[in-house]
Amino acid sequence: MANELNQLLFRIRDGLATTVEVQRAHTLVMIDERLPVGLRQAIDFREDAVGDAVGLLAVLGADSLFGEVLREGIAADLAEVDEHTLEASNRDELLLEEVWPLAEAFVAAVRQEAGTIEMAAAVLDVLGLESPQLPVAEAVYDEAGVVEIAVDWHVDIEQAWVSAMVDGELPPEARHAAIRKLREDPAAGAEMTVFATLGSDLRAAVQDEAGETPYLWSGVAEGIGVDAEAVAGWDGALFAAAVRAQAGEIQLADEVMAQVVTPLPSMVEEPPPLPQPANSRRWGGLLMALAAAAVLMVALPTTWNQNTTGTAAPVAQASAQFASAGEIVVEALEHGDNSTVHQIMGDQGAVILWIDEGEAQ
Amino acid sequence: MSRILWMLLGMLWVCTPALAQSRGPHVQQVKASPTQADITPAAGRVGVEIRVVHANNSGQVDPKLKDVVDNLSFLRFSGFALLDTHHVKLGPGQKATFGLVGGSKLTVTLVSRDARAAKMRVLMTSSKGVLMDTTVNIHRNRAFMVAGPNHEGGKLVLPLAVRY
Repeated sequence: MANELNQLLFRIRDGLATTVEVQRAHTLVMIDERLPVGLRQAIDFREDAVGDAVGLLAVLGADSLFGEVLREGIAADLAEVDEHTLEASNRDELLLEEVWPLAEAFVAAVRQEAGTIEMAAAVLDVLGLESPQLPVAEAVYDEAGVVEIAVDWHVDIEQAWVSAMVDGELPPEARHAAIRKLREDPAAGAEMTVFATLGSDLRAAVQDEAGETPYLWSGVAEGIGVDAEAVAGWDGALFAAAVRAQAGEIQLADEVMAQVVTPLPSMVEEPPPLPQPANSRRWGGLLMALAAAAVLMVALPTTWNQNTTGTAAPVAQASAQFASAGEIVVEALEHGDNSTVHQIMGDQGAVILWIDEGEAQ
Repeated sequence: MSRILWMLLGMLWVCTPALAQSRGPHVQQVKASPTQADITPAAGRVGVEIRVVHANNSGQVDPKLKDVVDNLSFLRFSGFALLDTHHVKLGPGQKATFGLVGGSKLTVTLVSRDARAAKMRVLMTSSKGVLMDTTVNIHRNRAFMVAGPNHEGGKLVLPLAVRY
């Protein structure tokens, strides 16, 4: 059912769902216990079915909020900001989050997406960003060869302020100017999306340009003058020598094997000899047969004449063949004031009338 | 040898009353457990079987509920227990009421029937009032489910089967 609901929500989000599909999605939402009860009751796909679908997909973790919808939301939010509000307020206190509530979450998401990638100095210079100190970068660069990535990225140098704003690196005055410019140029939102995927794009571009890279650490280690197998603070030879000095010369093999290899217990044991009967067995068989016959004569009639009273034994339940949608018609369906009823289908197609009492008792 | 004869006579003396009882003319009619044939009634009446199933998180599934469990995996309950089973034969216009767990009641009415399908009215109530009142037209020898009422941290599931 979870997959079906997700698929329906995607169709609603994309404007491809029929009325029946929207109703089906509403039904599935009503009984989906992954969702809070209040949310289930609030979602009705009437006023803003697309918005409801987008929100549900985000809550269910099936889709992120980034992309076209977010950009449109950002533009819509910024369009509501009053120009005078920006100028009259204290610049030191006006934060991007006051005009764009999603900014903090967006910046965090961008940073998470960009990862800890180490960017070549040349690329960083082009973007006007501070180049970090990367002792390994040169070795990697030499190994990967010349990489032409600036052009493939379609990065516009004039849009460097967008990247800086996403990273929170603009001073307050510049930030206000950036906000005004963003309002004037909604297309800049698309650039912000580009930078949100900057990290993954960079990695893909480097790999496309340089090809599959072999194991680099050995070359890098040699380039920076360290042992590729070395671990800081660890000397295996010293450790072994210290153990030998402490333990001395020990021949463990024989003593250890003597403890480990123990004789397995025999699986077959000779049983103790059976005692021979002391009594005569001449008439034993006849007497046993007569005794068995006597027991049967007494026990069987008692069983046959047993009068069963009380509740009957439960009937062996035969599996029910559940009606499919074409074999049952719900002609009337009503519910009480404290409940709702939905007609849904089980995983094997059985028709289920689902009663929703709301909060669990 | 005489001792053996005395033993045989003693056994026969003990067994004779039981033998006479089993062959006498006053044998009590044995009430057998209801079989599937008993709830498949004669022409005109419809047999209704209602199972009361508790979907819970016990992790134990009654093997007899496989047909139910196969349709309810979306509920994400790990256990299904059969609490009770009700059988009734209804003629047109007749109804039967069953007490369920937690004070709920289920009333089933046979509205009408023909060779192909039966029209059933199902009314479920609780201490809070009416939960559901529905009329369905269901194919003969088919079943459907009423489910969803809360019960002890889980849900009640009521498969209803119509047989005739």
